[in-house]
Amino acid sequence: MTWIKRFIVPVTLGVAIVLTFSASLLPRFDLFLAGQLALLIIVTAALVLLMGGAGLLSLSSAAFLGVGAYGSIILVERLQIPLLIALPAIAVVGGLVGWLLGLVSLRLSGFYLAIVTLGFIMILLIVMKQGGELTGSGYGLIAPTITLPVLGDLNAQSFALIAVFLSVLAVSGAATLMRSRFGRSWLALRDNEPAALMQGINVRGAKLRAFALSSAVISGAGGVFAFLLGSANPGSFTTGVSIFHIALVVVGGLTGGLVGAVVAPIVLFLLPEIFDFGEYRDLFYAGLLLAVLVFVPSGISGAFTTVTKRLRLARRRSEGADK
Amino acid sequence: MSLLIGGLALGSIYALIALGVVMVFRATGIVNFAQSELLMIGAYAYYLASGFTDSPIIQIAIALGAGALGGLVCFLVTHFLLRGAPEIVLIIGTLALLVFAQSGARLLFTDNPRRVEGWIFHSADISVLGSTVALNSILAFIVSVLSALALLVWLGSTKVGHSVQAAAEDTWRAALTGIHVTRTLALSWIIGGALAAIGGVFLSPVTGVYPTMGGDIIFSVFVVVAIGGFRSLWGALVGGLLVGLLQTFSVVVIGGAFRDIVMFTILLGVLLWRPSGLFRSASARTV
Amino acid sequence: MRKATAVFALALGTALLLSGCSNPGAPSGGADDDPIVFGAHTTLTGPLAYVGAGYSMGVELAAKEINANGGIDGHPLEIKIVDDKGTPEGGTTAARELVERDNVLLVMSGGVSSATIPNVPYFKSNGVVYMVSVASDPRISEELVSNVFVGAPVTTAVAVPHYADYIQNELDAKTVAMIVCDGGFCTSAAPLLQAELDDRGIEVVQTATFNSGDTDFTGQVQAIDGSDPDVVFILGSAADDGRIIPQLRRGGVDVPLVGDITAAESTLVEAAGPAAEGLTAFWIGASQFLADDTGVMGDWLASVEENMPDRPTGTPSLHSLMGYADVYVLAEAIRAAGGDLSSEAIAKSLETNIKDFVAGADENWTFAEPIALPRTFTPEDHRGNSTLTPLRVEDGKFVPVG
Repeated sequence: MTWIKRFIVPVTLGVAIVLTFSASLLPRFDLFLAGQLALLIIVTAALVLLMGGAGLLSLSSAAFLGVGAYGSIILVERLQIPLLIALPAIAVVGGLVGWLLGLVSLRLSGFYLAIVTLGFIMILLIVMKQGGELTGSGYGLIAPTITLPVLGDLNAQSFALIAVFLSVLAVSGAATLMRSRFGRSWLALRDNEPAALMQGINVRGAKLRAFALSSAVISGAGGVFAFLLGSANPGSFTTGVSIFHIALVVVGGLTGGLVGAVVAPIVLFLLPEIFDFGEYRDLFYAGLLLAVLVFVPSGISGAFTTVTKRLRLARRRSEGADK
Repeated sequence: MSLLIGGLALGSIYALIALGVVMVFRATGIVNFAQSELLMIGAYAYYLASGFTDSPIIQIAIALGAGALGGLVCFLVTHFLLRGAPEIVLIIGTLALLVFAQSGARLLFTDNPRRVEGWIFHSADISVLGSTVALNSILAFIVSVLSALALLVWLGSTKVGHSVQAAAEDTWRAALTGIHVTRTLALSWIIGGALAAIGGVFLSPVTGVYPTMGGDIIFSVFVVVAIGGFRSLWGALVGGLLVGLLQTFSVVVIGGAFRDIVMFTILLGVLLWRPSGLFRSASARTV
Repeated sequence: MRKATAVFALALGTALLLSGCSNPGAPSGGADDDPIVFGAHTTLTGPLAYVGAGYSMGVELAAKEINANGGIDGHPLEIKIVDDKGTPEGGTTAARELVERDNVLLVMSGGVSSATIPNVPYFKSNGVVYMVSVASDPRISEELVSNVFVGAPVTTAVAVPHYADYIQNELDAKTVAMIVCDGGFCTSAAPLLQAELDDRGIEVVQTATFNSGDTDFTGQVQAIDGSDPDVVFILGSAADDGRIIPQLRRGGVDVPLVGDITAAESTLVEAAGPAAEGLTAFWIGASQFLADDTGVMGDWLASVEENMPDRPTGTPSLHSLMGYADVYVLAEAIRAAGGDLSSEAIAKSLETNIKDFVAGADENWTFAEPIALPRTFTPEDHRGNSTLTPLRVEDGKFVPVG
């Protein structure tokens, strides 16, 4: 177990390469779905850090997705910046905006913060719709085709593969971060803020970091999203989408564990797609959300941790009994 | 002049929902994101009621009943199902209720706006000081103010009202004095729901009845609550009217599309500078 | 860490397994009696679900009529309808599903602009014929793509000069006030209309904006009243217009009101009540207004009653007419292409053989009702419909002007 921790970087890269390769064998349409799934996993992982880790509720996640989507298209198309630079750049921009939102969170918490983040996403929607020619006059922007020197034109499938690759990195990175000093400070602040302060934890810094990091990651995902879909449109970044993201995190588990970040999108996104829930999709995920809140508040991650703990305990007991 | 009445009418609807939010918050510490969905539920009930009866009394009774029922459901979910959960879980719970309500309405009624006539006065207009105003707007204003006043009087003078106040201020002590806390908490939710339903009755002739009619205004309601103070009922009423006037007049100045930016700036300003709102409230003295 | 990797591998394994369950679907249009399969994506869920409800009813009716009369050159016609949810993700997913998984012969778009636009580059690269029946974003047809066609919709760029002409010639207006929603079709049309009016020497004295779904327009009404225009032009959805118009009238604005193509709906007249009297709107659905039950429209409505008794409420609608007509356009193009069912042949046939085509009036499709507006495609212009009919509300009903 510990050897994984030591070689975390090569292991992650290895898994990422293997998964991306196997994904490339999928039929085109399924790969497209896998790409959307991968991006949702990235968003969920980022929000797990923010909500499950630091305990901060934000309704702005869809807004940052939008910042990434619109931003990346504008950077690539208008400013002629190559995609490889544009994506990290927009992630940085998103992170900065997130940091600003984090400043607000220093003064407000809980409900107040939720309301302010709600306002933020509404403002952003106005900017997208009223931004005139820059934002596509309310209709949205169409992503330009990216042509690489050797590989030729990048299509949706290419971006789906990129998304899959990045999702492994994101999950691994998030898990590592949660185990690190930063993660521990977040957990401390989530569980008992006054106590954390007394322990000398830099609560201010932790909150700002949480906001900045999660916003940066989500914006980056938004950038890939724009090119996967081929467009950026206000309809993709509504309050309803943010609420869906929250549902993903809750069902996944507010414990700060990453298992749920992977499984929840599969349950809430892939399942309704494959089995064509249609209009019942919203009812399904709202119902599931409520059910999880009531019966399994720690979500899938929590349940997973409980199960593995029990297994480990049982194993140790049987080992002890043998002696 | 018509700006004034239009703003007051709009504001009075905000006030009705805000009153519900404040009542629930005082009682339970929960900010109900789904409060304006109760407006939508009341509106649909009114729509269905006016389909089979012309009696204004029955129409409003059914709408009130639906709102009250909705409030009760919210109470059951948050008080029993989510008992003792951390704040973040409660917020998300109300968000789930919001989605539930909207998607349920969508499934039952589709997204097409349904047409309803104004309560009692239908589409009648009246001339006030040179401008033509819908009687529905004036009625909305009068009814909301009366409801709010009635509520405040009731809370202040009747035994049940006092127990609601007491339970809101200090649940533990209230229980000690023999007040049935759960019942009074439920009452706060139910009253809040009924008030929101009234708002639905008056809003629906203007906008039509559609599933997201509540969701469209929830942000403005929160601005009202922030300005008025989360614990102040007077603040909710006056704040509602203020915000309604502000929105109506700012449209003339800066255009309708950017109205929300003004709202957000105000919200941010108030929350950061004066989190307890611009009004003092009769909240518990900390001992 | 091990947990996360394990679960992710599990996840992918599941995905692979599930993907194995989806079958590629039978290829279409091969042997003589093989069905011809059209794919259609439309908005069946979400706030704009009424679009999909109407549209699917229209295409299903057309398919039914065609199959009752021998199909297309003997091939039965199947139309596979997929929900695009009105979102870009939904639209791209739906299009890919139809093309890559179901292998349809061609794809019709009955969805809104935001679900259609992202598909244009996709179809450009794969060459499958894409017939857009509902979306009106001008960018769809901005660039001439060999296999992308716009059938029923009249794009903003084409419609706006008509609005300006009407304002200038029919209403003799010198000054205009505009009220503009925040939807794409509004914010893109407004500057175009402004430019057209400027060209004609008509001044736009006020532009008031609002957010779709707003309830109170007192401020905008005040602003418009204060600017004293000869005419007020309303850009918004039918639902928005239904709220704005009574408030305009009540606010003392009694000059002629003109709406765009989205205003030509009976629901607007119902919602606005008596305030809608005299409103002008532009109709692009058919040769007669939908609510007119005389003549060929009456026959068509009767056919709807008879053939589609289980149709959803609120249909038939404008979108039903759009879908109905475009199915026939495609059917005719295929018939005229002879036996060649390749995308290139169909596209070529559309460009060459569809001139002022109206199913029902054409000798090959006499069983259809000739309600559609004439379609013409050329190799240079893939926009098939440019007919707008101004309608005015009189006695609570839309009637043709003049």
